[in-house]
Amino acid sequence: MDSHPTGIGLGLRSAIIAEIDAGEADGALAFVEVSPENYLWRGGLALDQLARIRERFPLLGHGLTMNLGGLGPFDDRFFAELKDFLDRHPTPWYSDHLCLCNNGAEFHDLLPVPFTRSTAKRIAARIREASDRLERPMLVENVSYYLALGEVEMDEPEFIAEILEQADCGLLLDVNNAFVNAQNHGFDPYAWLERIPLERVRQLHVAGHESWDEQTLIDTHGADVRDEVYAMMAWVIERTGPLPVLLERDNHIPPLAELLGEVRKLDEVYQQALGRWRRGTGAVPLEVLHG
Amino acid sequence: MDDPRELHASEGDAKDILIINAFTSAIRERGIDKTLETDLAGFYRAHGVVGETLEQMLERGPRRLRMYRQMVQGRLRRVLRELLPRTVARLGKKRFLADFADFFDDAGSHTVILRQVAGEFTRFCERRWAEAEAVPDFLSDLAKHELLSLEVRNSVGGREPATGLPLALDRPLRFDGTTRLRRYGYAVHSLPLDVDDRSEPEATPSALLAYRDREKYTVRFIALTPRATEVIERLLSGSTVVAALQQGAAAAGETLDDELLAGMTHLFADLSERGVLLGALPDALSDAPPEA
Repeated sequence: MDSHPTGIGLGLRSAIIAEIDAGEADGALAFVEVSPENYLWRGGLALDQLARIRERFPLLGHGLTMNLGGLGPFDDRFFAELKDFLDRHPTPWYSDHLCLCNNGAEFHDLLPVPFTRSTAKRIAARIREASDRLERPMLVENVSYYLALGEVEMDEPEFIAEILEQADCGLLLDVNNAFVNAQNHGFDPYAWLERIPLERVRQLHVAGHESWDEQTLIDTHGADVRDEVYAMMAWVIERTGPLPVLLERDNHIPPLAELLGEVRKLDEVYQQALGRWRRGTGAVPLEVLHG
Repeated sequence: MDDPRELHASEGDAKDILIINAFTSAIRERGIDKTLETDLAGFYRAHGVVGETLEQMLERGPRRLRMYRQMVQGRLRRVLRELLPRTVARLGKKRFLADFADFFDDAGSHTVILRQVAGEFTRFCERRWAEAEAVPDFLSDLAKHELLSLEVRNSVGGREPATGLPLALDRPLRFDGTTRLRRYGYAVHSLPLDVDDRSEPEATPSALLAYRDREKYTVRFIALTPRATEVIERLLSGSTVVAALQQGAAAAGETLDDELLAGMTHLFADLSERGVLLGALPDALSDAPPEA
């Protein structure tokens, strides 16, 4: 994990890939995050665009379907294809979610898992297996959950910390998910952050969310990032120092120019937080990679 | 610490497994919205969730359970509407909801690739559409045609180099890797692209050769005559040119005469110009037995 980008990046989505391929984000992004599931068993335009884009931006790989919280064995065919993709598109680590995606069928969504010791143990073992199979470090991401499952033996920070410790892996900390969960389940997001082992955080996600109903926020990645989420990102960076921070946008995707405006805004907050981190640690300013 | 390869669900905590199974059933099972609302305890008990786990789940109520159900199913239905727009539009809302509910409960998706769900749904529905009076006979063909476009656009392969060898009767031919041939019972390829269109295609057996344009990445279709269909189908399967012509002409009920040969020569030239036909295969790649 020695060599990796830091600063603000964007997820590569079909709505913006042509413009990024055309050079319209050159110099504006520290990295591009790719979800391999969008490219596996696929050829054509998207693959050719990705091949050109990876020449100009560092890539980070982020999966959606590994099913780390699942009950059955991993899909060998999927892992073989994923490893082949990652070998052809090298990334310093690979990340996926602390969730369930498949239970007899694919749900194509990120479903919650019980916060229990047995689940933590099972997931940690699966993370280690995934890391072995892919021959690269794994990060895991905290998800938005709208319903706690079963008997809650531990709260989410304890659950995450237990998994990170047992799997000896890094955390992709999604501060928007933490904010959404805090609102939906009624806890203080900063108290939550205080209990997360920040020394294991390797990457951040920030995103916007929307309302499902009057009582529930939903993590849609379909709106601008709220100020509260910016503040949480800054809080983390003040304590961790430079990290890659992804602006996630999957729905209601605005024109790239508008997204890059949000990237700049995020970068300002990030740089201010880095400044506070440097003053706090006496660290020498680090060069931030920009493509 | 346990060896990760030895630790799977069979060793997991039984209570975790029960609640996960109940939760995912609540998302998948058809027609249980009312049960979740009126008999949540009964639903959980039917899935073996009891005791403290049941008590805690009942305290959390059905609202967010239904939210997950709507979220997951709604997302997959949106994907199907995007990938099979004309098929889904012609099914109508009520029929589509029913077909989707049965697909999701009875079969479900077994691919991690979202775009492949459209094929899973179509394969599940094909027989029931054929048996349903309310579903037009051509709908399966229309779905297959929409899938064909999706398949060719995203196909692995394409842009393979020309072999540099002229077409020869005793050799198979190389085609661009995205090339596909599909037969329909209806001329669904002639229907307007407008999702609101409800005109009906002619009940005419049709065959299309589809490929991805090498430069623009667009999907192109060529309507083939019956004899061209028979010949090209055999060539795509690896037959030599002479075998494809002889067997193709016979299958089409035609004589292999100068007129047919002239027509095929013209078609081969057109396909070569489009970058679909890439020349004769060299011996090493040919299916023909090596010469003694």
